Amino acid sequence: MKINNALQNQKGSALIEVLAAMGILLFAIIGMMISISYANYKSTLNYHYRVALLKAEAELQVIKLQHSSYGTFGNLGTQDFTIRSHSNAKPINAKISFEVSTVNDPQTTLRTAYTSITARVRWLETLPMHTLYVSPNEYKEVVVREDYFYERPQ
Amino acid sequence: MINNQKGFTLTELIAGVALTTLLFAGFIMFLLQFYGNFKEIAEYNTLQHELLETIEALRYGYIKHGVNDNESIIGLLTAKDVHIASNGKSLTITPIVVKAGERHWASYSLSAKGEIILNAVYGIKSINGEVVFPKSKEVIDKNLKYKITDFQIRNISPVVSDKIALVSIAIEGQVRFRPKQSGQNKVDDERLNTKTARFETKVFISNYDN
Repeated sequence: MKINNALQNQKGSALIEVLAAMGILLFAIIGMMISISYANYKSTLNYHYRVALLKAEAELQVIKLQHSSYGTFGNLGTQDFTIRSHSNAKPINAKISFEVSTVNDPQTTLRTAYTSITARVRWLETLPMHTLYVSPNEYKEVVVREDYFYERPQ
Repeated sequence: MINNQKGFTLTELIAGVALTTLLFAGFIMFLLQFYGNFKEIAEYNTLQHELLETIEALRYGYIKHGVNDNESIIGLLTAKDVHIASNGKSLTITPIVVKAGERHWASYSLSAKGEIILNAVYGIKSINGEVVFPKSKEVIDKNLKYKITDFQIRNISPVVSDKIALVSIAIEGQVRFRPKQSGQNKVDDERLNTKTARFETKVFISNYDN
């Protein structure tokens, strides 16, 4: 009986029902588009982090060579370089700067101290298209530190 | 139901079927595009990851299970001597050998197909033709899906010595998502069907003067 009623029903769907269904579909499609954009952004950001990390490690290796060969840390001035995610991508300007500090930590040992070299890579990240608010200070940073221990004069 | 003679007109039926087909086709195309985009992102991440792993293998050494698990691995950080081929595409590392009379070395080189190949000797054990990059053997357009497009090892040592104290490593890889389409030139093909990643670093050979 119920089946007969359903088959004889000629009412169809109201406009509001069709609009609601389309709205749900649109919501799902927009969600998927945002997830693609976000995944792409994270993949590019990941690449930039890796390039920055390798740059910081490379410069710390040069400093280590200077220290090992000449007993100095060499030129620790700020350097500019570019990060390019792929051949057609817009290059991103990045900076690497260094901080040197000598640490005497008597709690660790009374006989040794260490000089700490910190390499800091900073760059301005381009935000993905789905971002509604763009902060002017969307800087990303990679910090790598290497310590050089030595015997303290008594 | 049998007595109901209302039904649909042919025009209504054709319009209804056409619209539904269009809607479904659009949604399926969107889903395929969505899946394709995600696959490209995942493959690009794989490329980055494997390139970085190759740099780490050069830096620290490579372990092949069942061969050198229990050996000290040979990398630039444990190198005593480093020899770079004149074209910069091959590198041979000799470590500080503890056991007298034993031969230990590892050689990384770029193959014509765009792979990084490792040959190494650990005393009586050896690794021959091990493909460090890429992990996948998938081929697209008769070329490897993941391949090295540039590999340069250079001696950048500022120290006056006959031995290499500092090396720079530049490695660039490419992933191909799909074959080249007809009518695409080389630039369009690379822009639309491939993606590249490039990593550069430097390594200090701390045992060079031992």
